[in-house]
Amino acid sequence: MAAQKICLGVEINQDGLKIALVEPAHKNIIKIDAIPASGDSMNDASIYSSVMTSWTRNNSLPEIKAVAVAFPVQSGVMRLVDIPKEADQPFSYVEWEFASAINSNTKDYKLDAAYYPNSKKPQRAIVTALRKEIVDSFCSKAVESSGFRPNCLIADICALLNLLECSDGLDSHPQCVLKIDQKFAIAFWGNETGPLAIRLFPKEFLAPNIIIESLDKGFKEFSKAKRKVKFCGELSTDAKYISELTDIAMNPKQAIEIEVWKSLSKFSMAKDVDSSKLSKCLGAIGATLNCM
Amino acid sequence: MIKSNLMPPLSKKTAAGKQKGKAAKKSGKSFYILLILILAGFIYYKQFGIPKSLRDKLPEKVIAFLGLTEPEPEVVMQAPREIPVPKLKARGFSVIEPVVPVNASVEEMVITLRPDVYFKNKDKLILKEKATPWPKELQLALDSRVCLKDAFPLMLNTFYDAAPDGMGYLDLVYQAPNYYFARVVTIDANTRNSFINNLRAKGANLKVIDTVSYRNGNVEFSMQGSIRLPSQQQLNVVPHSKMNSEILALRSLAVVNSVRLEGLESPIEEDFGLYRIVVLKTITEADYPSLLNFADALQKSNISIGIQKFVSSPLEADKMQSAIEFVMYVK
Repeated sequence: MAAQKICLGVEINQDGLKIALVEPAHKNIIKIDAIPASGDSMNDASIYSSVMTSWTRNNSLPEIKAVAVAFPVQSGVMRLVDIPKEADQPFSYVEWEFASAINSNTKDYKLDAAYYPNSKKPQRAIVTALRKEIVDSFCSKAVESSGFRPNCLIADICALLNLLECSDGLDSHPQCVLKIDQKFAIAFWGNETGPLAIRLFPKEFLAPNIIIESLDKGFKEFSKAKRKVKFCGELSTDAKYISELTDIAMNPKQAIEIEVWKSLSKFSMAKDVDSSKLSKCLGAIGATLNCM
Repeated sequence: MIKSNLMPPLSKKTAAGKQKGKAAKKSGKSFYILLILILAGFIYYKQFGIPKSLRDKLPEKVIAFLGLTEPEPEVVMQAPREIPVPKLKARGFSVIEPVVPVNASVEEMVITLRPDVYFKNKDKLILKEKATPWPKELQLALDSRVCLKDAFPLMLNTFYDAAPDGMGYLDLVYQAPNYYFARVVTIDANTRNSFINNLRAKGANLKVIDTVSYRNGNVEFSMQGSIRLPSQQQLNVVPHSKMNSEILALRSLAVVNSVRLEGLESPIEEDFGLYRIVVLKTITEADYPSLLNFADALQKSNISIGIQKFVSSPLEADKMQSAIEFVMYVK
């Protein structure tokens, strides 16, 4: 029997770490877990490596081929950039656009771009950037010696959209994903051409009525999109919050269908996987897809 | 599927990597040994030809196929003598073999140029009509650096049309509002005179600074002056919110006209209270016709960016390098 290529996906946010052991080639989920962590793992990679080390001590793990980390988009920069036809070198255009869009030195950032519809004649680019010191901290000797140096570092929005594409499929109609954690929320619309619009909600704007109002405004920009939202994140398992959110969403003036994202149609799960944590760990599962 | 990854690639310190490294070292050694053997063989062949013993054994066809046939000695009648003819192309800066070495790089020229010496005599600044004044604050900030939108394309066209066959520009400089400096090499004195007459006929004011004649008849000279501006197309003041879109439009226009500009990413802003003067210092290796097209297109466009300085020199055979300073008045 051929050896399985198992990837470890880790989603970092302010509440802690979400972990997923996935065999991405066969879309097989072996294990998922959510670990609360005190301290910001994103700005202090030693917290990340120590949490991961103690987690592996308590769990017997198979051989891991690669580690993929999904970082919260609010820790970095994400831009959707339209590339003019005349730009003969898309990356230099993207770099220039990025430099003119931010108010600090571009040399302090590590930049990556994904091009649509292809990299030869791109029309738009999904640009993600993270401060170099953060990227460097994940390449430090301490993290490397712990065995959890990431092979891939991807924004949570990209990870979730990749997962949506692999599970439900994407076409020209925009779909909406809402991820609400304890201290931050994101909503984004995306289709086969990547993310189309992003909304970020700081801690003060997590009240259900504010979220629904923003989603309603967002849907007005995408008239062809079904008014249906896939809900995930830390609060997607909080029954009280879900009921408040769905109650407001049922208002006929701004009716939106909120569906907790708790199943992945094209994925199989090992028997002992705690499926109640699935909607919290989707970012971690999505991150592993980049290891394929 | 969004293929995005901000992590740098893994270092090759893994065990597999070490083994691979050893293998690579071994193959590297054998490659060098092979290279030395081939080199030694080649040197032997160049010095002594094919060894007699080997030549007798190898069939002629194989020797011919390998290209090892020794050339038959030729009877040399007379060594051909090359007559040094300067190959100068007018129209387009392409001095294939510059008879006069280029002394200064574009960057050095920008630093050392002194148009203010020429402009001490203000009469030479030929502006027929008075420009419609900008707001007072901006006028004060601009002082004598007024940049007119149509001046640069007019200057480039004037120098393009005035150039007869048999001359080339070694340096060509423009500074707003209408100053120029040129260092020119011509094939002979007649071509020089013809060029100067052409320029005068186009209404350019000129003063020849120095002239050097060479034994082969070539003439190198430098000159400065001002061009005549029949109209004065002023730059519009750009709202600060539209600054980036103007730069973007400029970049697109340059790309369309095959002009690749380096340096548009870092504009230099001078703050004068209500107004700002934004300068974009760029370098390009575009040829003269492309620059001409670009300058004409910029003038005709509604982009509110002008050119306040242009310095151009031949980079190598058939190439030129230009430093262009764009300017934008921002409110």
